[in-house]
Amino acid sequence: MLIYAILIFAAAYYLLPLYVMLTTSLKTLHQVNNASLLSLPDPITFKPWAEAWSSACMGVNCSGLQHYFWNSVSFVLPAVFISTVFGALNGYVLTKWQFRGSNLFFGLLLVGTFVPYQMFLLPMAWTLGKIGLSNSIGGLVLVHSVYGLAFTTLFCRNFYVSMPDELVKAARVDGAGFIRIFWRIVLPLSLPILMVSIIWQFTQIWNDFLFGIVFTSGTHQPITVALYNMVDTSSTGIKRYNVDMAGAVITALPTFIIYILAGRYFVRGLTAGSVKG
Amino acid sequence: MSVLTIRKINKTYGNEAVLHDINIDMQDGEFLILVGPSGCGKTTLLNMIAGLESVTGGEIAIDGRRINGLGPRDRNIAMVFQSYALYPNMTVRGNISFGLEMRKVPRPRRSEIVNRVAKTLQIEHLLDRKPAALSGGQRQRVAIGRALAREPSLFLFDEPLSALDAKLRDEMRTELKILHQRLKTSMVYVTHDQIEAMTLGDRIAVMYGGRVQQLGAPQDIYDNPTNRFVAGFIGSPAMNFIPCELAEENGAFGVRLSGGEETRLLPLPDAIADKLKSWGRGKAVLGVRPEHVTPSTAEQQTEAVSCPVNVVEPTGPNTYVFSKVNDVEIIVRCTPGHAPEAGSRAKLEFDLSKALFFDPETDDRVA
Repeated sequence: MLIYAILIFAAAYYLLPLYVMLTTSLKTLHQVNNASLLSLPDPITFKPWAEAWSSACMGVNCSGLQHYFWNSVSFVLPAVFISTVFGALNGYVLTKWQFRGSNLFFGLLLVGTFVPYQMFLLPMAWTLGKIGLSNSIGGLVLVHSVYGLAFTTLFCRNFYVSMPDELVKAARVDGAGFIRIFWRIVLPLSLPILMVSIIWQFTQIWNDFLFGIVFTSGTHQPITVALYNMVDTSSTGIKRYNVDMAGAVITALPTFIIYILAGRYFVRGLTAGSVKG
Repeated sequence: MSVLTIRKINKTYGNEAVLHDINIDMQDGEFLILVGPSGCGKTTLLNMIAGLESVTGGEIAIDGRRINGLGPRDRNIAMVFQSYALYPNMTVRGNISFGLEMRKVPRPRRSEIVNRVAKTLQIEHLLDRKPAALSGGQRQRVAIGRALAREPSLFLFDEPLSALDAKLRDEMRTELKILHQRLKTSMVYVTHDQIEAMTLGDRIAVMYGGRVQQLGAPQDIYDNPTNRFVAGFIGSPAMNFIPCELAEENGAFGVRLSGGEETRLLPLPDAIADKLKSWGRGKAVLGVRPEHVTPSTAEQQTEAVSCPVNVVEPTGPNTYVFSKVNDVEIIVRCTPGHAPEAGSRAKLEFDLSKALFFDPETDDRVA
């Protein structure tokens, strides 16, 4: 009984902020200012959501979050795709086509997972400037793909280590080459780890604020930065908590959906290899 | 015509040499076994034939064509792996036809071949299953089917039966032999199990320490091993090796054996005695198989040695007796009715016409 009590308490503790966010986002500003924080919205209004989406102001620009939402989508999807595909390829090469020094190579790549974001900023800004990708969606795709590669390679490499080498040997004897073995045999067996990689990368890149605010400005910014600006702008006049909360929920929604759709693979992929079968 | 020629093959990893000057010539339709303990280089040699490992020195030819630098796909071989290595994401049908697809065999011809192979191996009812839904023996069959489908010049087997349980292994062994007799294909088969080697092979290459110790027909290797390693590796229970003195008394040349009490000089047949005399040393290692030592039935047998009976192990068809001669443990094979009792002493007769002698220092056979 005690354990359930603790679990219910813990769940409530974590869900309470979400409850406040959701209820506040459905309240009128009048109700926000006059009723208790925990009270249910009465009447329910979707106006804050509509405003956050299409007419809230970021500085002087009052077109809501929608433009920035699609900004985020437009660099998150390619960056997740690229880092996952190349992570899988790296893992495949590092385990099934080992070359002289491949373990050292993997070790160095691993260091990439320990490097803090902040260390990248200046050299990356300089590099983006040199190749003409500063302040662009393409630049963010590149930055996130490169940074995520260390993680996706780590995931996939550890997954492929437990995949029998004889599968690849058999396919080579059967006449398949490097790409065909990857495409026809290795990739179809990689679904769990690809899901892990996709969830991880999507969450990391979608939620990223630092790269977004450093490498982009104005209309190229991702939704996380736009949300910050929106909240910041509204604080100069009347604080519109309901619109802020609606914007925050909109911003968090895609990662939430990804977890619901692919979450069951996440645990399965993380534990894959530890159990035979 | 020889289907496989291996000439002076060497393999080194860094500074470590794992194969030394291997020479094997294999005839078309032959079932060749590479047998040896783990680490002897047999699987490395097989992988080199397959093209999965590079050749450091020497030449490998299949059907008279040098294949050293070619990839596995260009060698006209098929291979069955220890773990079967079936593609888990494909059905049995997909597994069998994958190699054909890679070689751009047209679809109708592919399904024709798959059906023929499935019929040969009696796996027609499994064609639409995934490997995970198959038993060990069925997976084994599918792995063989995948190899058969391609009709290569040469089949390579890498310990294909070692993952099966004992009963199934015996069944599959017989099936493999029948398959070979029927299809008359050339097969190279790697195993560490000397019984598989004896039962399956037309010829056996016994490997140890990166060298082929002996290459020959199973019975010939069993009867005439070239050195102590081969003699001890082939045969179960293993041959007894007894260090002994060679001596001549009253015109009879023989070996001195002692079961702990009196020492007897057992005279050797002339052919063996002559070889040992010309070898000219006083000490040798006598090699005698368990079936060539028997408890004596006659009361007073001058040529028998009185030995302790330490342990008696009945196995059904045979009973094995553990005894001690010249301070080394030996195994004696008896018929169940004639085994002495443990703790007693027995007179043991040595059939020295079948005896082998080895140099105690080099382990080479001297007679």
